[in-house]
Amino acid sequence: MKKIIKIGILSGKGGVGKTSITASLGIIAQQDHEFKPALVDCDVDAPNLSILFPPRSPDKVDKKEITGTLKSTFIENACIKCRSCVEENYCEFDAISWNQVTDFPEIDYLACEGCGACKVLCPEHAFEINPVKSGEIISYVSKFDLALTYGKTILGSTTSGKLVSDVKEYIKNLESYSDLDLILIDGPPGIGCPVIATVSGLDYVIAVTEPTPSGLHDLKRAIEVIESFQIPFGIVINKADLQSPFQAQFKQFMLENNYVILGKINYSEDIPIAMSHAQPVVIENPKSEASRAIQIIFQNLKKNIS
Amino acid sequence: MVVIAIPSASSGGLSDKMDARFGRCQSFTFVTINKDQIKEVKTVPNPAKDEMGGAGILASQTVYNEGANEVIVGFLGPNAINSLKSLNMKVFQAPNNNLPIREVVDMHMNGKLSIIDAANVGRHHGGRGGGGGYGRGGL
Amino acid sequence: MSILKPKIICVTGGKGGTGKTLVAVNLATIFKNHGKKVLLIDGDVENPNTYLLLGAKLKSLANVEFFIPKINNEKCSMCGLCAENCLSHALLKVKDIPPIPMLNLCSGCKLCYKICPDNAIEKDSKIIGTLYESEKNEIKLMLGELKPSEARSAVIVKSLMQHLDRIIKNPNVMPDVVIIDTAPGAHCDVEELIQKADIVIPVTEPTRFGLLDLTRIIELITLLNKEYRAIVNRASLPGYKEEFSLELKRRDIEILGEIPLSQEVVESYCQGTPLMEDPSGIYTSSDAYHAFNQIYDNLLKWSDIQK
Repeated sequence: MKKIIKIGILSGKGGVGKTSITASLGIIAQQDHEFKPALVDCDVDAPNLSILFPPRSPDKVDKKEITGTLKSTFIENACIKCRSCVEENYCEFDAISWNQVTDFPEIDYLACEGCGACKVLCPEHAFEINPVKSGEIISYVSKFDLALTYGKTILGSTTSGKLVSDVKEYIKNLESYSDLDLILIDGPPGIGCPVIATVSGLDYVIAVTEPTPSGLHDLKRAIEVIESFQIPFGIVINKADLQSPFQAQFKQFMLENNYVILGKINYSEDIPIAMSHAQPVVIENPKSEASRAIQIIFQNLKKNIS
Repeated sequence: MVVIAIPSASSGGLSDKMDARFGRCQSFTFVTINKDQIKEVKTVPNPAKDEMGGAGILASQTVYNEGANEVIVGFLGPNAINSLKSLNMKVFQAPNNNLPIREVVDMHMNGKLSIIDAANVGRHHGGRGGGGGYGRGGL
Repeated sequence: MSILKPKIICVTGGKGGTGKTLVAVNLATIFKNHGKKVLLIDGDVENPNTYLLLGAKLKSLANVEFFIPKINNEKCSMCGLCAENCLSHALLKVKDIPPIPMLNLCSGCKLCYKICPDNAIEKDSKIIGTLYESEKNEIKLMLGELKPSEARSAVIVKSLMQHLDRIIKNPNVMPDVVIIDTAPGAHCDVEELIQKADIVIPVTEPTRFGLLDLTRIIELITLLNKEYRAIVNRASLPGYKEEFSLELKRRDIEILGEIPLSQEVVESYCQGTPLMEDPSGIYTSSDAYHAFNQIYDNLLKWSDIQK
């Protein structure tokens, strides 16, 4: 089995540039003859990469419905109104309450975790646990010939983590899968379940940050998660030359910890302008300082993953 | 006496190919070895193969209950390795190229496989909702 | 004034980095400047940042615990009922051995504890996060933080909301206004906080990503039957501004105001003093300062918060 290198782009903090950097790295990798890359967007609560990489053929878009979440449903016919479900607190997630109007128990769909306790404990078997649609996976070849696969949650489904896992599993179905050797994964913000689901099994992580207190604070927490998985990582500093009173502290932190710095991207309007045209900056303006900075990042990335 | 469990790609047996996945393989082949000889070969379908989640755990239960004390694996996630270790089973790493089971058993009997005691891929996710699961690793 | 229930405002946004925390902290400051008792809640339990923008020092309030089943091997008859019924497969059970908990899979439903016929399962717990409190510039702050490598942020949010309920119901400490800052995204943590709110303010930016995520968060807000008006931050960002405004009009999205990109915002953000606190008065003539005041006025007009 050929080795496919899986690289995740994370940050902890939202909005520091994960998606725009992933997009440009994807293009550069595609242009580099050494690699056959594919893109994955695991920010399933707010997948944005598809804006920059629309389908090449709109009729060749694969969509897969995911039913991952388990939810409880109540069966009126079976209920004898003993009220044990509420009085004996069957549900640890406060998803069952007694509806005084209907005089039946009521399930809070959003709070329900599908644990099955109500189904087991109710003496009349008046609760059932069933899988419900929790999201979808969309996959296609985009206009730059790059395959893009992303997940999108259905609002209220509470299963971002699982959908991320499903997305990572899904890419094995790609027609081109056996030819691929590099997968770039745009990750979600935060450090919780969907991030953990993204990080697990990766070969390398690019941690994107910015020289602000929240940028650094969140980077440190993201690093804790990455290190707990013992995955090697490198840092990209976006908006590196931001005029801020925090620069000195930020630089100090980078010096003190011997992290690998893959590169720095200075603040420039080239990136938002490229974004406004729905283009990665390396396509819109390949000679711009930002594009050159990302090229350097890619070269350093290559050195660190070989 | 040693009983080795090998995840199998179809119905199992020495001529079947090894399945690189542990939790969701099609079946398990159990090989009993006594005094450097294969004494018995048994196959059991894997009840966990279509499970939405917790496959690694269920598969570990199956191999233990069928009497195995050693397991040969391709990919193995943290839940599976933790389960197998909790059950005091020895886990060996085979090459991940879907080799015939006969060949893998030979390699093992000749001491060519090394023991692993940590996952060689990231966590494999269980099917639960509610933010309780971790990611499935291993592409 | 205090007989009334406090007004709960949820600042959210969907897209990361649009300026939710910036808006939450500065709105809190303006309310405080106008004599209101303000409670600021940081509901972004994966990466709480409000205290950084406020320059506040945190004091530990409570640890958040999560259930762990503890098997009493002597009492266990090895019937396997617990493992059989555990939908998370968090109990490893083989013949002749008591069940082995697989803690990272446990949902905390306590079903095993409830159904064990031998009473062989005890309630144990582990700490998965901490609640903190602080006060700075007369703004009270309450914050929840998930321990890195733990996944269940929803539990921290729930604990935070329980504390909030206690505060709201206590006339001695009841604030006039509660401002809740959420995490990015539209997942269950964010939902829970939006549910708590009387009004919701999604913060966005005039970019394609901003529009897409704004649409998504509005879908969620609407699903939860809440009223909302947006704030456009970084409003002077070049490239997409006109199209963005047209899109907002097209979708009937009302806004409370716009905040331009500004050096003052970056400075105050990085210094840990909110722009609207402005102790030396250097920001009062800045566009961003005016923008925030305008937003505050529009907010009062929109909601029925008494002046």
